[in-house]
Amino acid sequence: MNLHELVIRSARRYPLRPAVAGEGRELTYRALDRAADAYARLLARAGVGRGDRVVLWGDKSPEVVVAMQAVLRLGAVYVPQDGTAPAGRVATVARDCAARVVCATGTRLTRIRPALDLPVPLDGTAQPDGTTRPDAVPGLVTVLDLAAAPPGDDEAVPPVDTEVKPDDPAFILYTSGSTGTPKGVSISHRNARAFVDWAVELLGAGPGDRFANHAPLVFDLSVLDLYAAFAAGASVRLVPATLAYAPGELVEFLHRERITVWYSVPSALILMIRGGGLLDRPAPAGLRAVLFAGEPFPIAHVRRLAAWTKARLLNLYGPTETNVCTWHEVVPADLERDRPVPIGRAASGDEVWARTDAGAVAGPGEQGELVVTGPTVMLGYWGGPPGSGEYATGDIVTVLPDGSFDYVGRRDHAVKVRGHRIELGEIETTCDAHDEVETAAVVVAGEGMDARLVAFVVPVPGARPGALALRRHLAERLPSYMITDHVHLLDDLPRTRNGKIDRPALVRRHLTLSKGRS
Amino acid sequence: MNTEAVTARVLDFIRTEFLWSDEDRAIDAATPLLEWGIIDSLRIALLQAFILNEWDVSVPTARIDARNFKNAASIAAMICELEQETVR
Repeated sequence: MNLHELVIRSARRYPLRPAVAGEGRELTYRALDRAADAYARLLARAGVGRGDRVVLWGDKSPEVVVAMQAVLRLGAVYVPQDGTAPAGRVATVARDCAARVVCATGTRLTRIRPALDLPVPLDGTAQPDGTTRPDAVPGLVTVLDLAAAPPGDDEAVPPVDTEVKPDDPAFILYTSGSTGTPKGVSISHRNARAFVDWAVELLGAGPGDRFANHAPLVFDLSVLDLYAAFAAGASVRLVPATLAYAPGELVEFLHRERITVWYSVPSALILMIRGGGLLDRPAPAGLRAVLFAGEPFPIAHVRRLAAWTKARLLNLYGPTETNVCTWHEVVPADLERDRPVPIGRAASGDEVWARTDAGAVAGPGEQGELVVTGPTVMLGYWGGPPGSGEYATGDIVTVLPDGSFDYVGRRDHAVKVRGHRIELGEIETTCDAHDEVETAAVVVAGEGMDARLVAFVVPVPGARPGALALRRHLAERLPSYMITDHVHLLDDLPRTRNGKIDRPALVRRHLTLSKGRS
Repeated sequence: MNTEAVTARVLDFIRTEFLWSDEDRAIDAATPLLEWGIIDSLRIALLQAFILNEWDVSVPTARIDARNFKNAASIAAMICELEQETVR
């Protein structure tokens, strides 16, 4: 069974159960099923067929979820983009994946046109009948309104269920790329299903469950929330992006929505503990599982969570390229550790091992780079050669006596800042593109929640780029989590003896300045 | 409470606490703080503490959203509104 068939099956079994809720609306499985069929027909009229890419750019909402399902039903591939992403970046992604259609909402519909160099339509952006005549020019991307999705109560819409193969791509998730261009991770139906089926079994998920969807839909964490819920006939409650700034509201959401399965980056949970009073109220009685992934969770907070709730605490690990490939359930002995809980052992039917620098398989007590093979490993990067079936994660791990793994750190310049994987090279390349910048180096200073992105900029001779102008330049091209927190101007970047940028020196310099200030 | 004075004080705080590494710090009341990454969720928590300390105004979580924290002017307007509500 392929990914899109989960909703079709649950609509047959549980037509009147809630499937997805967000922005004050709730769709039953029947409504989601019918709305997806209706929107699939709109997309088909815009020329979308099997294998075509469709970019979905909007705030998290039932409409976006409907559009995802619609795209899959046509055998096409959806490419989610965060509602807060700048138009320029969405256009870059649309061009990179040669999208057939960009679906957007509100002012995004007009902002995306100039970014894509599209002509302004003569009679409105989207036609009321769903046709897209003004844009339907060969070679040009079509822009379609996400809000054109019908309400889902039309019984007359014939079902759309294009046959796809398990190894056909289902969606592409763009991640930060070291060369300065975002990379599209192409995930097949088989990849996604291997993880989703494993997660449903691990959680014992059923129709009574209510999954919180905290992660933006552009992140692989959201695959669990959406599709494990759909597989089980459960309900997924979309956390609005605006709540990212309101930890108290997030805690309220957890209680009000009677969440049974919560999955987020540890940073979100820490924010809820520190600023939202999560632990001041008793844990919701129905909360069965708290899952976290994306970065190490400081053990002190795990201890506090364990004392607060009887829910299972599960640490999941895996880059976007493999989704979740290892897992660990927190047991009392873990709370005695002085470091984060292990990332555990293989998940989702994958095989994982640690490869030493010499290329051997690391044994207990040894360190190596975590390597993954198996059903969740991506097809490859969009536009690149097909994946070899083996993915070296770039993460260094220690092999524990029981054969499971402890996370140590990254081996390259990719960093994690508050749960977001960031290739510093992409920020540097974007800084370099500023007219007044000769070169730039970006480092991370501080740890955990206090980690900050710091840019050191060497201006072109005679120029003095303003830090705010640089911020604005970045904000127009990168997601908000990649905008640097601090900018320092330098005459030259410090170098090591072999000519490489001395990044530790830059970190020390920032920390010294920061300390001197306080 | 004078909105202009509150705006100026909020700008001062942001310049000193968040933009200390910037040479120009040329933000004004309309500079988009969230959009340009000048403030984020953690820094909003620091701003909350500052507002409480400075004006004895507690910002309820329901008011912490992208609209109220869009720029220094919107933050100042919110502070003045909350202060008025307290007086009443």
